[in-house]
Amino acid sequence: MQSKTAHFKENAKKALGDAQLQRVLDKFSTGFPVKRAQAAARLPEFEDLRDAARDIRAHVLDNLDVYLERFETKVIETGGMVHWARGGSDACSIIGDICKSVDAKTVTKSKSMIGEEIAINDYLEKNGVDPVETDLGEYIIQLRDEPPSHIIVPAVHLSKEQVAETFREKHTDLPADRVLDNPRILLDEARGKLREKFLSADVGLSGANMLVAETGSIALVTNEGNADLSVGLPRVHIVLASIEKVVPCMEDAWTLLRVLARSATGQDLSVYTSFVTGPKRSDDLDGPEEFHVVLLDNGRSSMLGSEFHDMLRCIKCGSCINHCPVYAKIGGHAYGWVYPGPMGSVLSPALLGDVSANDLPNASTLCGKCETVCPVRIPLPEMLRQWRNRQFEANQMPTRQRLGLRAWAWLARRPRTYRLVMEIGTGLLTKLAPRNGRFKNLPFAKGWTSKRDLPAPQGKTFMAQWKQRSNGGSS
Amino acid sequence: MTTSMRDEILNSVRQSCNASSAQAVDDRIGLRQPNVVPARGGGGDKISHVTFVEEAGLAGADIECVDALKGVPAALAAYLKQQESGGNLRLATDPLMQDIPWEQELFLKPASGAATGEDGVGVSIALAGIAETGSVMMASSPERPAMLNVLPLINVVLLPESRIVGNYEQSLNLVRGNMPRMVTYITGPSRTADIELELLMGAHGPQRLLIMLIGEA
Repeated sequence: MQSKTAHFKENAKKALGDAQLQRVLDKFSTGFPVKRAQAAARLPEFEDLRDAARDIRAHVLDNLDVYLERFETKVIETGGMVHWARGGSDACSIIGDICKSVDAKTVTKSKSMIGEEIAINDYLEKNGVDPVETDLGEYIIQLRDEPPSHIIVPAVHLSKEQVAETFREKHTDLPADRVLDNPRILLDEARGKLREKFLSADVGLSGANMLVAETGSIALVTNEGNADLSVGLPRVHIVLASIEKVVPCMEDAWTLLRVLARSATGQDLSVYTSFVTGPKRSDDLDGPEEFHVVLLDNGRSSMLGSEFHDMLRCIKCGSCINHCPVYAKIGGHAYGWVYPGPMGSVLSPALLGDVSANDLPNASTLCGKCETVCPVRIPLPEMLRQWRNRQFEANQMPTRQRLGLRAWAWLARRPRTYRLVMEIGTGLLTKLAPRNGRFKNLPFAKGWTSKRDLPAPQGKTFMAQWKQRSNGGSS
Repeated sequence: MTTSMRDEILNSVRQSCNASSAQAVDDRIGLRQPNVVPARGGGGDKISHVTFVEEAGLAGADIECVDALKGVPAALAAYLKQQESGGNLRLATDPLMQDIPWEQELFLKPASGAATGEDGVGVSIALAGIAETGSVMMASSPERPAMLNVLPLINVVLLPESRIVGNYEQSLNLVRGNMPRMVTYITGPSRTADIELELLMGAHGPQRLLIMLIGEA
């Protein structure tokens, strides 16, 4: 997917003025957080499970080379094939070649953010293969030629009216004047359309929620059942997974699954949790004849050992996005690439590997909500800060911002001078304060006062008051 | 070309995993110890049974209890009529299925073989029921084709009561060492909330999940 991260500021501004988007975002931001809190409250062991989940992911990352080899051995033992892809274009050509080898016309896909990352749909279309997204949200945005705006509910930015409009425009074989006024009717129409695709596809392409080293299985989690149908009916199943997804054994997979759905949608477990191991067995009545796993690096191995190492613990639940006040106001498209919200603001600059995503780690107040809900306890605010640090060190900031930060850093490291400056500033502002105690405008603070008044200080600084209080015992 | 990419990636990973240990990895894979298991999935057989029924209900599954396999046709026929469904069934050929007297209900018309896109009702047998979340564990085999669980509009799962376990970990020894191609834990019927977050059942998979609990009578 083409990155538009460089246009973050304009896109965020546009999103804030989009009344329709604001309406669906309001609905969104009150839904999932409540459900997650309820699911967590129902399970006394939830916090212990989060610790265990974090430890499993951390252990795997520390030993990732060996885990990848063990997983590969097991896939081959169970009759599958493993392909390694350094970058997105490598993965695209591997998948394209497999499709060509079976003369594939149609590929059914279950939602895969890695697929978005490498733009596999564009590649397949250019090579004469028709990729069909089967997750309902992904199907809708594919018809609209839009990127996903959320990693687990990709069409969350759309209203049902917009979906109806799209179906009327694209499903031209159905009567133009049919009624499409509620989600149930829309779902049934999509169900009918996709059923034909499931039954006629040549290749099923899925992501993987986990790769189990013990068994060579891949875990697939959906609520719709679309992954099971996508990969169970065609002749060939291709799995596209990034290298950090390995877990040691089935017990570990279940520990992660216990926190995954609860963090994502607030369900105790997603409806379909499938472990797929190798191709069809000789006497099976259904299942694919070929089972391929494409392991994609695409910048992840260079994150290992860096200050962004812990980001690779991520299990893509979307909880940080669901709880982010910034995402709740600007939606996913403003972020400009596959991964929005806090996890995206850490991941995108690393995976894109250039300065185009520099605005993302800065678009946060570091309120820290994301870290408090992350099932694998990724220190997201700290990593956003690390990106800002890097930008400062590498001189990638506007000069004024850089000089301002440098001046502040100088001051902050000298408490006595800091206090003195504060006392002078506070005194000055107290003297200059308008009668109502609010500044309508101030030099050098237009960014603040153009949107709201600045309250004038009320007497002495906190430190001065504290000192007085501790000395005198009363004030 | 693929081989060299493999080495490139693994070398790149190795550079930062300099403390990785093959011994530690093999020990860990071989350990197979449960990590944290919620108390909800513990307790004895009686408790597991109650929890299973409660949790499956919360997940949106329908539950019918019958005393024995011979009670299945009457209960199933009644359920399907109530759902205004036809009586055509696509059956798994599991040995347990042979003991069910389908001929007692003329409304039911059983057929076996792989599921098709036209099947209204699929009937399969669970390897286990997991009390913790009211999930049924389905494992593919020549007798139990995997698509039987997702293609039909109504998914009927037979679960002998004795197969209910407390938690997921307790179900693993049923497949360990010889993983079936597809092991699926189903928790309620297929659903989506992709359009304006409105929860709807029957997204691509079944609109209803009926779990028939079979007693030991």
